[in-house]
Amino acid sequence: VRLTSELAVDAPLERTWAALLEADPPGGAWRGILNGYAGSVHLDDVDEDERAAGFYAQGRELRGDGLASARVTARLAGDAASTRVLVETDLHLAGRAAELDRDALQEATDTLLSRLVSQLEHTLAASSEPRSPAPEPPAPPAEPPPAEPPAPPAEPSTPPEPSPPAVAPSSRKLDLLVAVDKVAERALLLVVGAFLGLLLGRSIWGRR
Amino acid sequence: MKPAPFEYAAPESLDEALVLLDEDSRPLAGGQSLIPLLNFRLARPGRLVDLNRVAGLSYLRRREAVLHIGALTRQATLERSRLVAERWPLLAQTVPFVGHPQVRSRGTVGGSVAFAEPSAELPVALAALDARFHLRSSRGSRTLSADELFVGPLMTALEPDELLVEIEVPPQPEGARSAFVEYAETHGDFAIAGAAVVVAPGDHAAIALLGAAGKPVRADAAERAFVEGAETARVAELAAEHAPDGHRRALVAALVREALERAAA
Repeated sequence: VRLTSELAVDAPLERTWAALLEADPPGGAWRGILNGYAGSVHLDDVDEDERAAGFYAQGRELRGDGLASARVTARLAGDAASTRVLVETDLHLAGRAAELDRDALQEATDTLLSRLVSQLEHTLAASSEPRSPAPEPPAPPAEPPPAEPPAPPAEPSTPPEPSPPAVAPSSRKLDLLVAVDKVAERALLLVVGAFLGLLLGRSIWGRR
Repeated sequence: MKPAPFEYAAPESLDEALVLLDEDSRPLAGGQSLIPLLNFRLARPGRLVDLNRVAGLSYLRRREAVLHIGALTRQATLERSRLVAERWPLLAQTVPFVGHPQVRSRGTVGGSVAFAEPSAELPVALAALDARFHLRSSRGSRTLSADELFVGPLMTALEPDELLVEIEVPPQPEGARSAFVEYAETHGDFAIAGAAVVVAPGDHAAIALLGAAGKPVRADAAERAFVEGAETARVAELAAEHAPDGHRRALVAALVREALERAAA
């Protein structure tokens, strides 16, 4: 199944791009368990010229025969104020999950991606405020701190992760980078969630 | 059979790994070629330096139009990559010929190159793409072309303490078309001969041969003939001159013809 979604992130392009890439997964992949699916996300390729990144997500239902894999390409465009992300997903499902229809998949993907965006924005905003003198990564010169997101739900830097994050924040990174790292890490776990957990788990159970 | 005893080291940084490499040690990447050799005791290194924990050796990155392939990038990653399929289709066309999916999920691009198995597919494709190979050792670093790196069957210019860290592939010319073909008794088995071609309007032709010389070779006379507008049969005949005997010559000629036709299709 091919799905495309477009979303807007209220953060400068360079910064979103850095957040997407700065994470350096140990062992080459982020792993996690979400909604009954054990999944991993691997950063496959990066096109610095075109600001595009390809991910490969894979998941297996812990109790059952559900199998899912997705090739996800995220293309970024934007300016110093905001970023547009075009997400193309090539999803392969097997087992029970394969019974879902396309609309349900698209809907679940969109819901999840919009949640991902608000979380990303929130954390980017949170991380840009408290620690001022932390040297920036290859971030842009001047970044107008994005307006405080209205909704309080997304927690700040140390949220109780729903899954055991098999990711130890690498000590060599600066505070800010760790924060950014966490965004990316969480974003990616959410991608796993999107394609493999919530989408498959919740939508299936919700519809029956 | 089981391997002869060896010491095992799993460094976490490139510098640590480089210090551990010497005459008596072998780097271990995906292990798809080395482990069988150890099991048959055809190789008996005193120490294996496992690179799998070394950070930052696995990536596919396009920067200023050039593709950078980390040596530890799995063949399966190369196979899945849309970036590679769109801009360096020859690599995407070649990887499915490497072993079987299980092998590719573990096997690395750098391993395929550094092992220099004469029937390996990726070195031939990389030779056709004018790839550059970055080597590092604790003494320094250097960059070689395919012709400089590959010396003969299972032989490269890599010194015992050197490690292949990155492969750089230049952008493909505008309108480039490519194809990879090979002949093996069964799919996934060692290929007997093969050809990788890239042709582009204007004056670009790259024809690299597998199984002709114990290492990847560029059929330069055939390339020139192609650019000058020679017929496909003539180009194939010139390429076949690199092969050692009648049987392989016929094979190489047939495969080059097929590759050129596919690239033109």
